[in-house]
Amino acid sequence: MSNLAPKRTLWLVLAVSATLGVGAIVQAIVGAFPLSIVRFPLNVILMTLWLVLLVELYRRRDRSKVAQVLLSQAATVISLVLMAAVGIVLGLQREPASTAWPTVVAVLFVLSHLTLVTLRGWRNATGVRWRFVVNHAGLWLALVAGFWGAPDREQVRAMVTREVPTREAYDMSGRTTTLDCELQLVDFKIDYYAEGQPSMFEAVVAVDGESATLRVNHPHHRTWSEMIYLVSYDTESPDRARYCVVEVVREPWRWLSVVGIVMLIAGAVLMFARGPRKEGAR
Amino acid sequence: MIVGWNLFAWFAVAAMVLSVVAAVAAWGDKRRVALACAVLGVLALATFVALFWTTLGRPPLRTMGETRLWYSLCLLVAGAFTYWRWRYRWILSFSTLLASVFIIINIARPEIHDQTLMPALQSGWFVPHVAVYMFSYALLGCATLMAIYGLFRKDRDLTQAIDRLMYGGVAFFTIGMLTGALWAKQAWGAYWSWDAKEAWAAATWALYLLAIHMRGRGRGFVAVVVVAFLALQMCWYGVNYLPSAEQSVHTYNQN
Repeated sequence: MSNLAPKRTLWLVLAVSATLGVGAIVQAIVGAFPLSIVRFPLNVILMTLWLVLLVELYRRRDRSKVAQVLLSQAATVISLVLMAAVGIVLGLQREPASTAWPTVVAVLFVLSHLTLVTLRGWRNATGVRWRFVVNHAGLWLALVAGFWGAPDREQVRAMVTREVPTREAYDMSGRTTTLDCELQLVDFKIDYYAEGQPSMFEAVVAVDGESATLRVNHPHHRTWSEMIYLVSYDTESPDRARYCVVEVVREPWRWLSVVGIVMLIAGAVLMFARGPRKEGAR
Repeated sequence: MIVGWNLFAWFAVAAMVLSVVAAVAAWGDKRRVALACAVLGVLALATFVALFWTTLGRPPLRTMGETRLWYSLCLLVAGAFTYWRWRYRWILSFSTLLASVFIIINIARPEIHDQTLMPALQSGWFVPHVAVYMFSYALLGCATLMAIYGLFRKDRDLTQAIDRLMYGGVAFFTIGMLTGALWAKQAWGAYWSWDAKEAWAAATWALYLLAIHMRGRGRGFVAVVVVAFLALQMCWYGVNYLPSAEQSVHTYNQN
């Protein structure tokens, strides 16, 4: 990668500003990103079209200016500056707008660049570049699952009582929804430290009649994509709790995230073990 | 044996004295003395951490005071390792100075805490997540100092050492961030929720990846390393002072 000369830096600033600016204009015209509309199967269709377009661009990389720009080292710098800019902006917001258009446009640019770079660099003349593959493909998978999978993620809360089983839950906007399983509180235990703070609390909840124990850091895995978390309890009478609050999270793209994260961890281990490439190898 | 913050000053002063002797010996080219004292300095602080851990009945990784303690220890380890591996005479002075700043803050403002560990922190991910982060902060701190030093002195070995420290630091930072994501899924149901702390971690990571992609490129590289290190300070403790962190789920390490 060449040195960042002033003219090049100016172009870099312009490119980053333009990307975020396009997102801001779209946000001003159409409002927030329509996350609920882009759910399965629309997100999978759009993702497939996007991937086909990128593969086609990659195939024409010798002729296509767009492909050459997206594959350039400047695009790597722009992608990483965009990621940092998005992180800083969201880190300063009280309610991070992670689905605002500028974020969406920035992540789409980063993912497009990452796709092309991964296609190009996964092997060299001597064979597969494993460290490159686990790091870049791992990041790609984690970002794809987080970006294209976000519309399919469901998170609802339910107040679970001892008296009657319930299917009623509320999403994060307060809208009522119906669970596809029945929940009822069976038992609740709480222990305290000598200072009076809770050291542990757990709820035994019947999920469709089957008993499940819920604790902080110990959710119940109901299906391959759905987990139930203990969020809160009857703080007025915790020793004889009448109810607890649980959160049901459905995340169909979850395992793609796991594979991406595990690959990235493997990549980090290889990064530490092998260290930087020698200058001559660049 | 009950060891709390009240005994910290004794162990800390022993560690600082040994580290200063190591730094002086390194300048005087007494390599064996320097290495022996540096290792003993690390052991003095490590002994306090081990006894403090036993006394608390939980890992001392929860409060700012406790993370400063680990940062001081990891800095001394990183300094001793760098001196052993690349023989820079000045690195022990830098690591001792930086570690001493954090040690003195802890002595001057001991943050006394109860012995409880809130349920959210009772997880197998707790120790690896925080310890790996602290070690990465120390490596990246050393890399930053060396990168600034490199502005004034061209040295092929120095570049190699900066690269090594940077790769090690970024590798540990990545592992810390991703173990945090896996833990967040277990605790809160989402790998990543763009909480203020997570957002600053993402920004810091991106800036360090940028530095890695620009390695060996002179002043531009140093500028990115310095900006990334500033972002790291925001991610570690600066974020606690931002209004955006008021609702953060990561606020249990504030005092």
